[in-house]
Amino acid sequence: MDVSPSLVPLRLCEVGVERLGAQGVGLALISSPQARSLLSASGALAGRVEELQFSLGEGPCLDAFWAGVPTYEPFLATEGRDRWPLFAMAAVAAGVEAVFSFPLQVGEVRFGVLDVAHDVPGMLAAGVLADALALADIATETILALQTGTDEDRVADELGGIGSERIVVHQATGMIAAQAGIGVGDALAWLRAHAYADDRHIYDVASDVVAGSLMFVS
Amino acid sequence: MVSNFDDADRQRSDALSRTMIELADTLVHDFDVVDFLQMLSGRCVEVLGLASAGVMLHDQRDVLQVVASSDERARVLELMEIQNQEGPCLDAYRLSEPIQANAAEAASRWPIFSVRAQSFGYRTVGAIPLRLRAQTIGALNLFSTSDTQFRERDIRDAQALADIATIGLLNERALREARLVAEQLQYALASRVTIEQAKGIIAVNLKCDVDAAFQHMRGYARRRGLRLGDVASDVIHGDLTATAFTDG
Repeated sequence: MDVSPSLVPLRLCEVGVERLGAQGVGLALISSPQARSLLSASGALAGRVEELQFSLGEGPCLDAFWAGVPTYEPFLATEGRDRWPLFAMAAVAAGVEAVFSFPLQVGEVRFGVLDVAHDVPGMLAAGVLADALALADIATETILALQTGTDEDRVADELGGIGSERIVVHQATGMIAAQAGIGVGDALAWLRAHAYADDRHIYDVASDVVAGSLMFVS
Repeated sequence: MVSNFDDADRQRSDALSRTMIELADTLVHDFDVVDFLQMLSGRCVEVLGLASAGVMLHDQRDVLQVVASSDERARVLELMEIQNQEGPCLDAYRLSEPIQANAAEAASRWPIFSVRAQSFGYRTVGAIPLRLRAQTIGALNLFSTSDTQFRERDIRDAQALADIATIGLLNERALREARLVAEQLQYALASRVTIEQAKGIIAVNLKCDVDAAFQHMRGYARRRGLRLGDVASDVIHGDLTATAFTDG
């Protein structure tokens, strides 16, 4: 019997939006440059910050994850442009003016981030910051509780699947790597380039690869 | 004005305060369970004027294990261990209540234990449960060569030290368990991507579909007792070629 994803992570994001007065609160699971997914998000800007960072490969949530410390950018349109040129421009265009990211971790073992996005610039008030830190702790415990008891090598069903579109992209990446005799990093780049050149969605191109109707040779 | 404290009491109060602060301080920094409980045992001996003290903690099978003792002599350790059958430690652990007994009471309550305790000259014996709310995780043994019973304040002070110790132990255990789950999640998050990629590679090399590719990989991992994520990683890095899956 399939276990549905838990609604608790979404509820935490909703609580975050209310309590922190934010326009977007998101929880992402991250383990490696390729292994990153949005667990839940709420608010008018829900998910924007995460999606942009995943596709551009830069941003405060990634910094927070790699450094293991909270990363704050209250002035994305100005200071933010120096730190993350691509991300800042795209985020501001999407209506995000400030981002506050908190790693989810136990000691130095990190597995995700909590992102808080605002549509106006400025630092969080002390009380709000304290609440955000507390929310990150609660999210950490919640996610670990949902994972507890799952077979060692699997992500708990309660934490949601990888998403069928992403599965197809990863499988296609492997196939291209084998067909062209290149590494998976290069294979993913080929896939993206082909999708861009044909003006198609990467998932559609990936589906064709997996179905065998599209092959790559070096 | 006559003070209610005499010198001995004040010294004892100071020693107790110092010990509690020391214990609490340990909880904040790097925490070694055995060192911590060793210190607790030693301090109990000083503060309460005991002959020796030791700590037993339960394991997963509910058996009490000696974890620390102020006296490392093998026979003293045995005296503690025998309390898995009978003794103040077992009673304190089971009942979650402090226990004490003089020589006669001990002889009648725990005959086997008592004979051994007497051979060390322990006339008064007691035990304090290591408990926090509904959880009791072990007990602190108190052994004295004096015939004087432990006073109520001795028991209270020992319980206070035991309580701090219990909080530290439970925190440390919770942290260790949380860390394990976090590591598992980290591995699972990373490996689910590599597993999908590896399916694609094997599918091309063995000219099969991705589901069949998965069966090959899983069978290989199981036969060799390997983690699926590690096998997938080897496939991606070229350390494992598709022929390995058909060779069996």
